[in-house]
Amino acid sequence: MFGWIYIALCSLLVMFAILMVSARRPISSAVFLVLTLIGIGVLYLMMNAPLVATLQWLVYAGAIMVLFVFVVMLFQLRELNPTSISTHPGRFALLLLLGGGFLGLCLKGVIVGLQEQPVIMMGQTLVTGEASLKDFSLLLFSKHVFAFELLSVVLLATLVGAILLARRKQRVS
Amino acid sequence: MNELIVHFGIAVLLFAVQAQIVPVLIWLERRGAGFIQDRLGPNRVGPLGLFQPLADALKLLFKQDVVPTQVHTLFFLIAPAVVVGLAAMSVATIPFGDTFTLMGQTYVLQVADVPVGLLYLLAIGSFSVYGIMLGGWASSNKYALFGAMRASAQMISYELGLGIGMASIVLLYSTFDIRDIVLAQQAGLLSWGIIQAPWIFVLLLVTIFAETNRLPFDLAEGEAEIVGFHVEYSSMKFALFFMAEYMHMFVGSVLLVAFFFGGWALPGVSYVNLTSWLQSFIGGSFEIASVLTVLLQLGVVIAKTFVILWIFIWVRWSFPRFRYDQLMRFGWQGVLPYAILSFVLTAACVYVKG
Repeated sequence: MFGWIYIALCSLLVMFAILMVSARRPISSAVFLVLTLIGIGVLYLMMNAPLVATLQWLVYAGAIMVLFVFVVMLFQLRELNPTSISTHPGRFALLLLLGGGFLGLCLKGVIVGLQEQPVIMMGQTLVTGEASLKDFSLLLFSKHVFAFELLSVVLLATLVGAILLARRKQRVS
Repeated sequence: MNELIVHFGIAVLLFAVQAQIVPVLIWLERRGAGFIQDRLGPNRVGPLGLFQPLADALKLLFKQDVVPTQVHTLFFLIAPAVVVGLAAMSVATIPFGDTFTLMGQTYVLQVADVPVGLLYLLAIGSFSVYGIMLGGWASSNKYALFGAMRASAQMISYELGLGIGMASIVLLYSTFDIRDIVLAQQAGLLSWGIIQAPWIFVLLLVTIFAETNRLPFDLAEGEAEIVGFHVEYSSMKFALFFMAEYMHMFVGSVLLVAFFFGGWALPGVSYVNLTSWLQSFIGGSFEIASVLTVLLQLGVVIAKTFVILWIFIWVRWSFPRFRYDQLMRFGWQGVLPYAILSFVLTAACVYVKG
């Protein structure tokens, strides 16, 4: 029962992810990305990690994607013209090779996982319960505080980079 | 398997409570408006006009359902469903009663007793912006898009205050579990949140008003002066947005009851003694007595909730609407600093108490 729910959810997630890439309207892309992120949160929930799941929903699906959708709606981006995608045979072959290889690796992982443990995720505990919420926070703010603060510097760097790129483009045009 | 059925039953019961509150609330709002404005309100359909919401729903269901030709059909159709669905989901981690025993198993009157209930509520709350944005965007109408932008900017701005208020609550009770928060308030009236930290109550009341788009914050849907995000919607789809508003109101009020008014706690009433008294009164079965006690607790929670809901209605018919710039200034220059101050104050209180 659990395994079937897992497989169904994963198929749905892969479908959403493909739809996100292949959707022609930017807003549809954004919506499918939201659905994918929510689905990943459900996966965390099935791994018995409600804290990670709710943080995934709150931060990614809730906060960041709201910003994305806002921007996409405000700028009314045009639909992607399908002819603008390169159909050069050499590049197509390369993409096919890379994509096929990646898919093969993923499938191998799934098959090995299924052979070793029929229900992969059941009973594995990452972050459960009240005590571990406390432990998680203590670890985050004591042992890993340097990495945690470093991540915020990365975010700042992204912000500065985005402003830089936007300004340079403005000067050229 | 029995366990699964009981859990399912609890979920259905609590959803039914939430869904059935809506027509009662609409009746209460219209009669309350009549009372406040010194007129009668709807009193023709059924006793005291109680069947008026039913008649309204029938009317809305049978009205012509127009889907304009320029809309993005899929998003236009799912937007009301998203709004109502999220409103229904948010009730999942709220406790409506204590433990009860059925067929040798112990259950709680709560759909999901998860340790991160508060975070879950915040997450679902942040999703509810999507329904409004999708609806406004999919209408392909400039005014609807503007309305959606206005509504979502309002919700995001006041979500900050709400988040900090929730953080203060976590600080006060030092837990993310809403059931534990209620259990911490069972030791008499002095342990209730409203006595412990009334300043957080003010903050949460204001931000919940803003999050539910109730007057004086109902710029999302001010019917008379400005065009809301649902201008292209008609018939039942239009009504679903308002149904979601009432469901949000109910969830917000239950939350306030759980945080500040002790949930199912009644001063001077011990539910353990009540259960044993009930057991001797009906003779024998402990299980029936415990189920009856829990239903009584559900009744207590709903009675307290209605007091808060009445405040919602009272305010709606007493205050005029904000202008948009006033709303934003109040949100960023009033509510946000107050929220930060109240957080610091709560931290100081917790520190002093040790």
